[in-house]
Amino acid sequence: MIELLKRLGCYPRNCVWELTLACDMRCLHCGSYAGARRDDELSIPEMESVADQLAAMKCEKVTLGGGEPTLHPRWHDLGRRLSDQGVRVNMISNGWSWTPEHLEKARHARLTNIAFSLDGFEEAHDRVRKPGSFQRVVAALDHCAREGFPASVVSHVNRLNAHTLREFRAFLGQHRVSSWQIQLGIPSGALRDNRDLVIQPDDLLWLIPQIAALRTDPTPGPAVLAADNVGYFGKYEKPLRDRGAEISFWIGCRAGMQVIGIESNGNVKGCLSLPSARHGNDRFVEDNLRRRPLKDIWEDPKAFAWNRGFTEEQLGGFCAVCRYRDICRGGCAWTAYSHTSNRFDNPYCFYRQALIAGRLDELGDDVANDTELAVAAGLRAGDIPEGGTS
Amino acid sequence: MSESEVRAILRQVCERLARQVVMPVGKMAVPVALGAALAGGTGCFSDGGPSSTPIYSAPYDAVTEAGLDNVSTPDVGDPGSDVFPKDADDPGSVPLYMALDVAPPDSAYMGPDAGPSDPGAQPPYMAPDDPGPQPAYMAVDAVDTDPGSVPLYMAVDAGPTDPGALPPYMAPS
Repeated sequence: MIELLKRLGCYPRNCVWELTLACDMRCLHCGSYAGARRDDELSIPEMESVADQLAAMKCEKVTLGGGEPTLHPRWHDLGRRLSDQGVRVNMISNGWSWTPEHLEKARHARLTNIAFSLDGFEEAHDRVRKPGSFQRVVAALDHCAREGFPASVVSHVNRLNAHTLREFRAFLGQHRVSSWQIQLGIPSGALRDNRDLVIQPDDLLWLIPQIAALRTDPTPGPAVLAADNVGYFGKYEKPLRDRGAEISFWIGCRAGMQVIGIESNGNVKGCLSLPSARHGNDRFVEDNLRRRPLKDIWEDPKAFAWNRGFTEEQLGGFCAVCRYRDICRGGCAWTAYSHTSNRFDNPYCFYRQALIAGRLDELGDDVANDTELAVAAGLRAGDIPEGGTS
Repeated sequence: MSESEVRAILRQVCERLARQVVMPVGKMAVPVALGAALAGGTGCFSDGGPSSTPIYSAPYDAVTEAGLDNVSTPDVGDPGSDVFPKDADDPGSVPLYMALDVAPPDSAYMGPDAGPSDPGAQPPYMAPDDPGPQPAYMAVDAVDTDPGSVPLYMAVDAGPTDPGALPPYMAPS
C-alpha cells in the first residue's frame, strides 16, 4: 500500500490567496491580525505573475482573501486573469463596504460565488466583528440574491454563536445563501487575546453531532460544509464530511500537498491559516515568490517537510496511539499547533473527546480491550467494556 | 463509520489505483511519504476525490456551482424583506447598506499614506499608537526581523506598486 501511494503525486489544487492584509475591520478572532496592509505587498505585475503561475501549476480553485480583498484595487482583474486560464475563483469578504459595483466586478472576474463572513446572529456577529456589520452583510447577501449571484457564508463557531447554528441555517436559507461553511474559531492571532470566545474541546461532543445533523437536514437551506478543522471520525464522520466522493472521511491535512496559501507579500505556506512572521513564528513559511517561482518552491524536496515528511513517530498525546493516526495525522495542523504548540497533537477531535468522556457508543468502533487507547484517553482499564461497543 | 469501514474503502481505492496508476497530465510528481501520498492521492480519483475545505477558503460546492436556481431555500419572496422591514417610502430595490448611514468605501485605503482609517471598532490594544500589550512584531510599523534575505527592491521605501522590481523570472517574455 505504501509503495502504491508513493507513486501518487501532489499539486496545488486549492489555493487561498491573501491579496492584501488591509482590512476595514478589526475582528476579535482575526487569525492574521489584519488591519494595515503589509509594507512589502506584491506589486500588480508580481501578482499577475503569481496568477499565471498558479494556473500553470493546474491549480483548480483559488479563493481571493485578505485582509479584505475588495480593498485591493485590482482584485477583480486578478480574478479574471485566473478565470480566463481555467481556474475556478471565488472570494471571501467581510461585506462591510459591499456595493453594487463590487458585484459587477465579481461578474467581470467570473467568480463562481462570493462568501461573506457572518458569525451568527446580529449580537454575536457584531460583538466579534464591528457594530453594524451584521446588517451590512445581510444586505450584501440580499443584494446578491436579487441579482442572481451565488452567495455563501463562512462562520467561525465560538461561544457566542455555537448554540444557534440550527436557527442560523434557517435564517441563511431565508436569504438564499447557497452554501455555508462552518469552522471552529481557534486561538491564533487576535483570538489568543479573546480566549473566552473559544469553544472547548469537549464542546465537540454536542457540536459535532449538531453540525452533522445540519449537513443532512432535509429542510430548505444552504448546503453545509464542515471546514478542515471540524472532526474527526467516530460515527458522525460520514455525515459530517460526505460530499459524494468515494472517500467520505477525513484523510488528513493537505497543506503543502493539495492546498497552498499565499500571503500578500509573496510568502508561501502550506495553508494560509498557518502562523507566520506576524505571529512571531515563520517556520511554516516555505519561501517567497520574489525569490523563487511557485513551481520551484512547490517541487523543492525539502518544502512542506513538516507535512509531506510525516511519520507516525511525530504524533503526540492521544494522537500517537489513536487508531486513525496514520490517516488523520493529527487533524488540522493550524488547530493542533494553536492549542498545543505541537502540530501533531490535536485535542479538537471528536473521537478523542468521546473516548475521554467514555461515550463509547459514539465511536462507531469496537474498542473493547484496547488498553493502550484507554490509557491514552485517561480511562481506567475497567472503563472499556469487554463486550464491544459498536 | 468504523475503522474497518474506513480501511476497507482505502484498500479498495488502492487496489483500483494499482490497476490504473495514471498520473494526471501536468500534475507534478513529488516524492512524498505516506502521509502526503494519502492526501495527494485524491487528485487521481476518477471522480475528483474528496475536496479539502481549508480554513480561510470560501466554499465551493456542487450546489453553488450549479447555479442559484438549484439552491434549496424557503419561499420567502424578496430576500431579506421580512428581516429588516423598510420604511414605507423605501423604494425597496435599494440595498440596505444604502439606507444606512454608511460612509462610501474608502478607495484611498490602499494609498501609500493610508493606514487604518476607521478605528471605530478597533480594540484599544490594537491601536497603532498604543503599545500596550501588543507585541512589538505586531506593530503597524513592524517589519520582518530578518531583513537579511530581503532584496533591495523589497525595502519598505520601495513601495508596493513599483513594477520595476519584478524578479527576473516574472519579467514578461
